[in-house]
Amino acid sequence: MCWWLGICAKKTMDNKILIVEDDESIMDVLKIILRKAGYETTSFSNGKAVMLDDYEIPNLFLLDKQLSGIDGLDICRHLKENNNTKNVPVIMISANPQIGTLAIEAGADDYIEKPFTIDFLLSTIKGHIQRKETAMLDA
Amino acid sequence: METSTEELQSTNEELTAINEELNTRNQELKEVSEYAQAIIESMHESLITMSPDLRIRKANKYFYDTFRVKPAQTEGYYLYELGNGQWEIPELQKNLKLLQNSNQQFANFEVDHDFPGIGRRSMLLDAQKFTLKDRKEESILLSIRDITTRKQIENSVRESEERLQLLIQNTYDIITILSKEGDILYESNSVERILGYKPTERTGKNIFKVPIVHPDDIKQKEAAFEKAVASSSEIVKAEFRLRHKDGSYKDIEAVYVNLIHDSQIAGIVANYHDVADQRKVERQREEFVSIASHELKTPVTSMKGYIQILRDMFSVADDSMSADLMEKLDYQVDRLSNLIKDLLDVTMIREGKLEFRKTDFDIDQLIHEVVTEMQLTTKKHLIVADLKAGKKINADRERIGQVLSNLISNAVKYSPDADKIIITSSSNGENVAVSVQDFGIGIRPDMQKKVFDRFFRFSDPAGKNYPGLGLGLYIASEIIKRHGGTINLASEKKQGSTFSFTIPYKN
Repeated sequence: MCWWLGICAKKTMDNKILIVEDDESIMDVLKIILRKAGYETTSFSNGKAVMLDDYEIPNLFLLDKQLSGIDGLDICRHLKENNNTKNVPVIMISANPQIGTLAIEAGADDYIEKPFTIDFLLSTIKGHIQRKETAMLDA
Repeated sequence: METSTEELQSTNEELTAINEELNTRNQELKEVSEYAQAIIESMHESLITMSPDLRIRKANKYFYDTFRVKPAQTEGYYLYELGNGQWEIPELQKNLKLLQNSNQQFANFEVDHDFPGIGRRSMLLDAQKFTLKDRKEESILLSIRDITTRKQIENSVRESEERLQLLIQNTYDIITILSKEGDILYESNSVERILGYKPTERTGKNIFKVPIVHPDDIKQKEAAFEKAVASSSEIVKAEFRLRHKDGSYKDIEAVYVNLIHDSQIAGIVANYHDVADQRKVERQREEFVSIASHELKTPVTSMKGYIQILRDMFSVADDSMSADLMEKLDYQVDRLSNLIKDLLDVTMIREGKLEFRKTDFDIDQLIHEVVTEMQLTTKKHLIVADLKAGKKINADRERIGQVLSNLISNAVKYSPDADKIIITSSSNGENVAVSVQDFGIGIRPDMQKKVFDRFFRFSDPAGKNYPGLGLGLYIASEIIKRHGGTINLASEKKQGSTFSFTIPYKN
């Protein structure tokens, strides 16, 4: 029964990724990569909608750190403070190698440095979604 | 009658004896007089004898030579009549009057006067009265010592000193003279402009007892000062922050020179240069490079993304040739990306923002990974690894990997005609040691010192510049140094180079 549910979950629940990225071409690249890998994507070029909780909760957040307006780290903190989203994995992306420490401090689950390889991006995302899945199923 | 003759003879003899004695005495007097005269005439001081009413009786040779007059123009004349009244100097007249009336002698009376036909002269005058027993009246003896030259030299020296003082007072930098214990012996005026203290507020204080140096910089400043005291001709440089009177800190570049053994200075001379503006410009530059690196990474990221997507699409469509081209394109984008990363690393190092994420890892395993990766970049060289460290170290794995990649890629780049590169690792009680050896043309001794400098690039004898920004080794050496390790180069002409580094277990 759980196994069957697991398959259903894969089809309908666990492939939504919400991206916040202000550079159009990087956003384009991410969408192509993720859709080809079977994910559904929702995209925002800034953090307004997320901060206002005006979105459908995804299975994973992919946030760029350097955003015009609200900083990616603030969005991360907001997500982790909110009961509805605190268990949804957040992965931060940044060109700044020091992002690592900052991201973890803000509560992010992982971080990816720009530029990245497709393989690394996909495996990181997959890893975190699977982990949360397992956690939920075990619950 | 006979008695008279005897008496006469005896008297005669007495008279002769007296006469002879008188003659002898006269002779002696004459000699003494001549002797005295000779002294007076050979003196380098002018002497005049005058009657009490200041009529000149005699003057010596030096007087006539100095004032260019002749006895005929002088003897018998009143002092104030001489040479168009050149001696009619009010102060002198006053003093001579005192001498005449109340016997008050004077000495070292200074006269500065423009003597017609001779020029400006400075002189010291001594005058006294004396009486010769046989004369019924007294004489006044006036001696004149010419100190013109001495005064000129003194003036010239004083003017020189004043000019020097003025220069020092108005330098842009602070010039300080310190004793070897650190007491401030002198501080120039700029200390007020740069640090807000008046020179009088700091002079006499000890720089170690009343410090104005930033607490974090104290050790540095003390070390530099000690080095200056210990050396005798070396110029010692240091940088530290000094506290302005208003509490804020200023960046100062200091230069010390030990002049303790120079009798005129007898201290350590310190020159403090305000580098606030320089630092500001440098910081702006670093910030710009940092921003630029970030901005450059964005298009590079999407380029890499598109290229990889295309590569995968070509692979799936079985178009291996196109996929291969995409792979080569991806490699070039990686090169670009690495150059940008290096630039960013360098600014972070310069700004002191380089942070390490330290973990425990097996060094041999890391070397193995990097070697495998790097072997893909060269078909010509065989990278041989002889790894015997067998130890885990606590360090930033990614950064140490960066050092290894850099050393191996250099080895590949700079030994285009060789066919192997040897990597070794070993460990002892305290450190792990790694070396990367290539068999290229070697590095000239005079360049070996500069190899780890920022922006240093190799050029071969033909003048060809090898590609790269010259940052890799600088970054590598900073990473190793900040792990508490050492990095070295050994190189022999035509035989190749070996770069080696150590990392302590505890760092």
